[in-house]
This record gives sequence, C-alpha cells and structure tokens, in this order.
Amino acid sequence: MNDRIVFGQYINKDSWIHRLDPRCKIITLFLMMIGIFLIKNIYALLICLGFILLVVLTTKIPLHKFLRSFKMIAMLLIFTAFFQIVFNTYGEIVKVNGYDLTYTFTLTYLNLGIGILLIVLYFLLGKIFRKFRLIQFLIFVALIFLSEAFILIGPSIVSYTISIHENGLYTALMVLLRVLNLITLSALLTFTTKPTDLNGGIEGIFKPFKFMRKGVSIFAMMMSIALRFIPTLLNETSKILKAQASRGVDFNDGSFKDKVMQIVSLLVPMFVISYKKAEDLANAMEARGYIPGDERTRIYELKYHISDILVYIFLVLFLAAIIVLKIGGIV
Amino acid sequence: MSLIEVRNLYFRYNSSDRAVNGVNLDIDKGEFVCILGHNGSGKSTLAKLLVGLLEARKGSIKIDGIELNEDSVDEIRKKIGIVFQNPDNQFVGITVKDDIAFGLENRKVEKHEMEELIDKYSTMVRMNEFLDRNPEDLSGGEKQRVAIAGILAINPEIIIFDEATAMLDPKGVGEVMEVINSLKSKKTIISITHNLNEAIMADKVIVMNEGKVVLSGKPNEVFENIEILKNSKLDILDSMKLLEKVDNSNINLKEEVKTALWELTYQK
Ligand SMILES: Nc1ncnc2c1ncn2[C@@H]1O[C@H](COP(=O)(O)OP(=O)(O)OP(=O)(O)O)[C@@H](O)[C@H]1O
Ligand SMILES: [Mg+2]
Repeated sequence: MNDRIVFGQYINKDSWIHRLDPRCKIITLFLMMIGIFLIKNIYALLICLGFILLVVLTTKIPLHKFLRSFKMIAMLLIFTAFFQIVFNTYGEIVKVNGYDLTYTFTLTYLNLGIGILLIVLYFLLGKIFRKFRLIQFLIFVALIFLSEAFILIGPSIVSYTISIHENGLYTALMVLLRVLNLITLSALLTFTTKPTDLNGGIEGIFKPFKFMRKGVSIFAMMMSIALRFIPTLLNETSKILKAQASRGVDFNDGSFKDKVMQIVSLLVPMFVISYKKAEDLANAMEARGYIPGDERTRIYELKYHISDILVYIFLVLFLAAIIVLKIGGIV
Repeated sequence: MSLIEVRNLYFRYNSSDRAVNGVNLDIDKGEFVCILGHNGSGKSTLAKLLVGLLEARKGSIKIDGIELNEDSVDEIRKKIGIVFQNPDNQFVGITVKDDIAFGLENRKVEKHEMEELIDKYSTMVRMNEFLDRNPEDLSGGEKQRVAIAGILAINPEIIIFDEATAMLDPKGVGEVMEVINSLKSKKTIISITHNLNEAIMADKVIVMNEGKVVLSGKPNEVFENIEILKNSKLDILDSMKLLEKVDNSNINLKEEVKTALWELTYQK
C-alpha cells in the first residue's frame, strides 16, 4: 500500500541538501519554479534541468526514485506532447534533410482488423506482464500507426495526413522540459525534507507576518495532523478492503451498480472511523493544553547556516539572470 | 481539604439519559484510585468532566482548591493529565519526540528546556531510543508509554488513565502497568479499569452504575458488598465467588473459612 505514494516521500540520507534549513528550501523551490515558468527558451530550460539533475546527484538519493515520480504524470505529458505535435499547425512544417515531416495514414479494412487484434493483444499481455504497461501501450499505439502507414492493401475507409509543424514540436518540447524541471525540483524538496520540517518551514516563513500568524499556525497544525493520520487512514482502508474481500466483495469486477455499492461499503466505515478518530484526537489535544491559534514554542527551532545563505545568494543570481535575459529578449 | 472535590455533579449528552447523575467524590493527594463500572456507566464522562473537556450541567468540581470553570480550565489542565483508551487516536505528533513535545509547546516551554524534559521522561518510560520513530512503527503499548511521557513532562499532580490498557496485548498491558505502578508514590492517580486485580491494589475503589457512585471506599470495604457489585453488572473475583458459596452453605467453622478467604483475596 505504502509503495504507491512515491511522490512526497522523505528519503533519509545525509547530504547537504538534507541539512539545509527547510525555509530556505521552500523559498528557493518556490521562486525557482516561478523563474522556470518565465523561461520560454528550450536551451535555457535544458541548462536548468541539467543543473537541477547535478544537484540531485549530490543528494545521494538513487535516481530511480526520481524517475518513479516522473512516471506518475508520464501519461499526461505524452498526451500533451502528442496533441501539440499532431494538431498544432502554426509555423513552418519541419524539414529533415530537405524532406517535409508529413505522413499520410490510411485506415483500410485490413488495418482495422490489425488494430483490433493489437488492442486485444495489449490486454492479454497485461494479464501476463504487469510491468512497463506504459511502454507496452506506446509500442502498441506505434504499431497501429505503422500498420496504417505501410499496409495499404484493400479498400480504404479513411485517409488522413499529419504534418509536424515547428510550433507544435517546439511547444511540446517546452512543456515537457518545463514539467520535468518542476517535478524534479519539487521531488528534490520532498525527498530531502521531513514532513515535520516542511511544516515547520512553512510556519517559519510566515512567522514575521504578525497579522496572519494565527491562521498560519492553525494551518500548520492541520497539515501536521493530516501528515500524521494519512498513513493510519491508509492502513484502515486496506483493513476494510480486506474485511470486505473476505465477505466476498470483489473490488475489481462487477457492474457499475456493484462498483457504486462497493465504494459505499468502503466509504461508510471510513467515515465512521475518521469521525471517531477526529473526536478522540480533538479531546487529546485539548486536554494537553492546545488552544487553536495561540502562540506556541516549537521543539524544532529553525536556524540559518552558511550553506543556506549561499543558496539564497544563488537564488538571487538565478532570478536576476532570468530577469536580465528576459529583458534582453533572449529567454 | 481534598485535592479533588466533586459535588453533586450532573451531565447529560444531548441524546441520552443522564450520563453522570449526581456524583460526589473526594480524592486526596497521592491516592491511587480505581473507578470500576460496566460499559456505559459514565466513567469516561466523569473523567472528561474532570479535565474540562465537557461542561457539567449542574454541580461543581474543585481541583487543588480551584473551582473548574471557563476561566480556570487552562490553569487546571496543568494540574491534571489524562491518558485515553485508544493509543492511535491520541498520538498527535509525527514522531515520538514531537508527541512528547506537543504539550510542552502548548505551554510555551523554551526549546532547551523541552529537550531536557523529553530526554528525562522518555527515559523514564523507556522510549528514549525511539524518539525519531513514527507512530505506525510503534506497538500499542509503546504509544501509550509515549502518551504517559507527554503528560509527565507537563508535571501534573493528577493523572487519569481511562482504560489505558484496554486495547493492548498482554505484553503491552504489562509494560504500561509497570510505568503506572512506578508513578504510584509520586502522583495522584485515577485509573478507570475493568481489571479487578488492579483495583485490589488501590487506596480507594469507586464503583459507578448508571451515572452514580454506588460504592466508594477501601478495596476490602467495597468488595464486601457483593450484592451491589452484582447489581452494577460487575464481575467479581473468583475468590469472592467462593466466598459467596461458603456464605450460603452450612459448613462449620464458617467464620474461619471466611477470614481465610478474605486474606487470600488481599494477599497479592
Ligand atoms: N459522545 C457521546 N454522545 C452521546 N452519548 C454519549 C457519548 N459518549 C457517551 N455517551 C453515553 O453516555 C453514557 C455514559 O458513557 P461513558 O462513555 O461515560 O461510559 P463508560 O463508563 O466510560 O463506558 P465504557 O466502559 O464502555 O468506556 C452511555 O450511555 C453512552 O451511551
Ligand atoms: Mg469509557
């Protein structure tokens, strides 16, 4: 169960990033994200990504953990890129060695058959090979297109042309790079910062703003309670799932109506459990002297070190560079 | 003057009958008090009233001479801590250290002082090596010990245990009871329990039924009233069942057997 929540999971290693002050990490991440949103130049984005990946290497966290957090939105990215490349018709048609990148696809009856066959194959394969489903899916899509490009026997049903335009390719690449940048950055933050520290960091950042201190302190407490209880509630969910399964509820099959009933059979006990937990927790907190919004001292006092200051200096330089390049019309 | 004085206390949840129905109570400093009563007899409600989580409809609670009301409740909560039944639902912090710190943070204790107190009391409940652990990686008994450390750190005079061992496995019960026993000489303890063996060791036993205190006194005085205990749907000790048998039969030397059995009951 816990395997699936890769994104946002702290990975305990000892590196300089791990030791940075959480306030510094949050502020740097946030402003760098804004900076990256301003960049429209692919080369500049590539340089950023390269730089962020270099930083990633210094965290001692295995790269595949980062790759896994890409996986979660890979599908979305691929579709965005696909639609940009296929449907964006602004700009010149891209030429390679003097040839236009224009392709004609024809759907014949034979192709239709092949297509259906491939889809069936894809689902059958899914029963055997559970891994690399995304790659399997892409290969099958590619095969369908290939068959429509080259197997042109028999009467055709419909024929269509796709040409790749500069603008589409460019936008697709830019979106891809931007998202990769953003995901790596936020993974960098969540992998190297304990939830408690993230929370304390957010609280610390808003501390100087007196007028919003109350709200922030309540918000931080809510976040920390959420962080505390998410694993517990996931545990309870899997217990209920098992209990229902042992009573013969099959969560994988069934009609739409069955599915609704199954979800209700999960939600009702979850709601009851959560309500009981919330009531008990509120009692325990109140009995231990918690007054919402009141000033509290913190066990994790935040302190800036030299490395934090260096990171801030870097951040200022980074933002300044983007602004200068932006004014100069370069990025 | 007693440390805890409860006079004529009434409380009713919106829906139900009277949950606490005219309770009078006196508990002295340093006493170890057990509250017995079947499910729904109002024990938890009384405990929540004592720590100000619920507001009485009628009657008064005085703790250490201070009358419990809206203004004094923060003051009183420094004098009285409570450990609840469910280990998971009262664990506030993300780590053991966080959880022990929670009450101290609320009382605005300085960081260095907090570190010292956390160190001291986590060692006392033997959880000092688990300070960075998350609650998911702790057993129920360990979580309850953390809860106790969190309350001890605030240094209250009174600690209420509301069936604090009811959800634990035998090993956990043993560990937690060991900690509770080590506190007996230092704190005033109110233990709500179904465990008669624990009650026998108490300085005072209070039996509740339908929101009322039906018996109160030293364990030997209370356990003599077998009829009332039975009416309160309470279990009685095996030796007491034997006693009853002997009482109802006509064996000779009745008095001697009875005395011997009473001795047996309180020997432990
Ligand atoms: N939150 C609530 N809302 C409404 N009624 C409640 C609530 N909590 C308890 N009651 C009712 O008040 C009465 C006393 O409950 P209480 O929890 O004090 O009993 P208890 O002696 O602690 O029982 P147990 O041994 O099961 O813990 C019961 O009839 C119960 O149904
Ligand atoms: Mg109770």
